Parts: sequence; C-alpha cells; structure tokens
Amino acid sequence: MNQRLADFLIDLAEDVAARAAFESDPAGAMARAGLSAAEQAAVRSRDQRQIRLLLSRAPAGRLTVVGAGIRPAHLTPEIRDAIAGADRVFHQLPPGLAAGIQPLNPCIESLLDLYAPNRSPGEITAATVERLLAPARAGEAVCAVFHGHPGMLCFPAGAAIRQARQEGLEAAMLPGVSAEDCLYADLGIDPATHGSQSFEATDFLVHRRRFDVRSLLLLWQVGGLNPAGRPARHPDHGLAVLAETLRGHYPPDHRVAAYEAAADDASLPAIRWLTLAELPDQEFSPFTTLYVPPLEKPVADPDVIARLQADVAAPDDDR
Amino acid sequence: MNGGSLDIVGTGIRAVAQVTAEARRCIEAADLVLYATDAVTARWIERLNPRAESLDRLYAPGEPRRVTYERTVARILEAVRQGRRVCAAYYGHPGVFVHATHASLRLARAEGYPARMLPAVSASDCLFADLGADPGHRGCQSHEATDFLSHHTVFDPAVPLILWQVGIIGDWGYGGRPNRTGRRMLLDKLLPAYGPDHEIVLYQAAQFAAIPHLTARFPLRRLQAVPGDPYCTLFVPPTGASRPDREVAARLGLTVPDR
Repeated sequence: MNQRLADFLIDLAEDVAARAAFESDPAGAMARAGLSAAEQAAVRSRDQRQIRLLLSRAPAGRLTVVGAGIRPAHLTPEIRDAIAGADRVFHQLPPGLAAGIQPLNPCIESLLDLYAPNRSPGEITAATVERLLAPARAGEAVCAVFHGHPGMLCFPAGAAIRQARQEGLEAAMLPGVSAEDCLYADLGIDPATHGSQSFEATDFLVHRRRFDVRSLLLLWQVGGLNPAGRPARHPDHGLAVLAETLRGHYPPDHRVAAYEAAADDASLPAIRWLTLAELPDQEFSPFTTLYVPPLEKPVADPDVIARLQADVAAPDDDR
Repeated sequence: MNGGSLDIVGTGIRAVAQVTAEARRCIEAADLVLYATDAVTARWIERLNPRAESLDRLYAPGEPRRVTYERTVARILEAVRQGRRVCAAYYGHPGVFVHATHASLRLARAEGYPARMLPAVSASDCLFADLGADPGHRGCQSHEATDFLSHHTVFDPAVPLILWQVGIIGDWGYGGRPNRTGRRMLLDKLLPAYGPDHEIVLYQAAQFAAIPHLTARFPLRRLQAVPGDPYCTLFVPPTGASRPDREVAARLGLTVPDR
C-alpha cells in the first residue's frame, strides 16, 4: 500500500487545517506531504481510478546523492533540504561533518561499517549500492551524503546512481564543495586562466596520461601511490616513479605544492611547497593533493587569433 | 589597522540554493557587500543585507575586460581601506574564471588587511554531478575553448575534456554572431582524435531552483550547430579503451589483469 498517499488523504478527511491548506494551495500542500510528481498529478486530475491505482502499490522510491562539502560550514540550502526531506539518510562522513547533519533528520545511519579492512574497493562499492537501494526499492526517499563532492573520486556514489536508474528509480546527484574548490581558494589560483588537468595519481602513472605543461596539473591521492608498501626512497616507490615521470616534463627545481584542505571550520589548510627533486623523500596523508604549477605561460598563436578575428569581421554575405 | 577586512565568497551556480552556510554568514555580517551575481541572487543579497552594491555598474559594454577588472579591484580595495568589513560575492566559485578576486585578495593581504576566499560550488561541480563524469576515473582536462585553439593545447582523448565558453569561441566582444571559423578550427583539432561519429555533449547547468539542467548530445561532426550562448559548455567523453602500462604497473606493484 502507498502509505504516504493514504496518510495525506486521511489528513484531508480528519484535519480541517490540512483541508484548508490544500484548498488554498494544493501544490504546496502536496509537496509538503512529500507526494511524488505522479501522485500530485493524480490528485490534481481528480481521476479516482488513477488515485486508487497509486494507493494500491508502494510509491516509487528515489535516491538523492549529495555532497556535504569539506567543512561543516559548506552545507548549502539544497543539500540541507535533501537531507531533511528524506525518509532515510545514509552518510559516509568524518565525525565533524556527521555531527553537522545530525539535527536535520531523525533517521541518519553511517555507512562506515561497510569499510571493513578485508574488503576490496569493488566489494565496498557493491555493499554501499545495496545498502542505499534496498529502502529505495521499498518506496522510500533515500538521501546518501558523501564527503566533499559526491561525483569526484567517489565511485560508490556514481555506481548507486547508475544502478538506481537502471532499476527505474528516480536518482539525482547534487554537488558539494569539493577539495578542488578549496584548493583554488586556498592557493589563490584561477584554473580557468591557463586551463587545468586533474588525475588520480595512480591512474596518471599507470595509464601514462598525456597533459600540457603550460596548464596546471593536479594529482589526487598521492598518498596512495605506494600500494606495495615499498620503503621510502625505493626506486620503485610510487613517489619515485612519479618524480621520474614529472622530471620528463619539468626541471628538478620546479616547485610543487602538497595541499590538504582544512578539515574543520577552526583549522587552516596544510600547504607545503617543495621541489620535484624532494618529492621521493615525502610522506603524504590519504587526503594530500599535489599541485604542479604551469611550467610557462601559454602564448596565443597570432595566426589562430587572426583567423578567428577575420570571421567576426567578415560581412554576412561572405559566409 | 583600521578594522577593514575582505571576505570573498561564491554564491554557487543554482541561485540561492547553493550558497554555503559560511558564505551566507559573511554576506549577512558585512558592512558592505559588493556583488557580481545573477539577478535572483542579487535580489536575495539585497534582502539579506541592504548595505549591498552591484559591481555590474563598473562594467561598460565594449570596454576591454582588463579595464573592468582594474576598476573592480580598485572599488573593493577602496572600501576595505575605509575600514569596512567588505564581502565580495561572486556567481559560482569566486576563484574560477574571475581575475579581480585573486588580485584583490593579494593586494588586501599585502596592505595588511585580513582577507580570505571561501570556496563555493562551481560550474564544473554541477557538470560532474549532472553528467556523472567522475574525474577520479580517467581524470579531467578543462580549458577555455578559444585558449584551447590559440594555445594549441595538448590533450589526451582517453581522458574527459571540458571546453568552457564554446558558444562564444573566437568572440571577444560577446554578442556577435557565432564564429564559424572557430567552430571549424575546433572540429579540425578534435576530428583526428575522436572521429566524426563520437558523441559529444553540450551542457548548461541549472541556474534556478526547480529548473533542470540542459544537455544536448550529438555527433562531433555537427559541432557547427553549437549555439552562440556563453553559458554553453562542451563535454567530450573519452574515447577508446584505456589500457594500463604493464611496466609502470609492475614497478608500483600492481597486478594488471590480462585482456
């Protein structure tokens, strides 16, 4: 049975104030009751057969995946409303951010128990998707809250959205303030000035990604570059391999920044500048990002500019 | 010091819905809010804090952008030097596609005033959420479309590519007709890497609450059809299999499955 729609119709029958609210603003009253677009349309059409049909089956669940930002002060109105309006909220947040969303909804559960040390990333993703979709399949509005931006370096979030859509459930992702957003604010860099290129560090090395040294380069998760647990300064330590790769493009004294965003509203970001030659000696946390500034300023090709300007200057009938 | 300070905040892309809690507090607490936002956010700022002034009036049509930018920096710094707690509020992320904010921040700090920039939801954040293109997967390359041509930017077709302001490629004045040479040159640059049938996505983020984002998918060969809209962004999905390099993987101690 569709309890949500039934409860709404009970209120209309029993509660004078609810009836008055519905009569003065039907759309608003139905939205406040959490009715889906299909349920609202059925009530508005006064089609009793359609209403009976919707009452007889469980309502379609939905999944909203949202980002809580990096610090508690990053919460936005649309994220707050998504959390407050859900039947069930799941989160994968560090304690400070988790405490920030706690007052918004009485049904909040952590997903952190899925991160058992013996589980592979693939198994964690599968378990997360299952945990999120089970209540959505049963007709509940599920909100999943992730650290930072749920669409950046967060495979369970994307996998859950794809799986939900495949099963015919409504699914949406709302952006949060990302670590990249914090980096640009804290380092005072405009990524649009000369363009940007960002890669997960292991992916960058293993796939030999091509890039332009005149645009800035960001490498995520440089702390995870040592999967085999090699000792520091081992020639096959990930940081040695990275330093070697970057040395093919930049001089050894090229200065790069190891960046970690502030985790709470009272702290400052951690920014450490070092040269490429010093890179193999470092030890990075899992949240460290490496910022490699452009090697030189790109110069616009005057021939390209002239051709582009000739188009704008040409009279219409020449085209 | 005379008590002057500078907070530079972003209001996100979807008007009002994406303002962070800390950005809102800065706007509320400021002695003066200088804003460059969309009209809905502008109205919201003025309701929140009547001591607000638009930076749009510093912009004169046809003037080089550098002049507008210098005037903006001058206005922000003038207010800070008067000893006011100034909040500069910008559409999207205040540090992305904005020159005046970074320059104001540096100048205010050099003069000894407390100054900071707070991050916000950017246009690329909306794109990653709406198109489901996680940059953790194969990375991401992001360039201004005209720069991408005139700088002969090197790119990797196995990695997602975002080209901003593709609608106004080769158009420095805004508001001219679509630059067909620019579209043809971009097509010439992308064709050898992707082929004519590669599906590309024209994307426009949702700017207002309850309005969905827009996407149009078409084959690369129809690039000429991109409308002359400054808000349109081109997303080029990656092409081809992305095969790991066995030698690098072995050095790192990773096992690569056989094909």
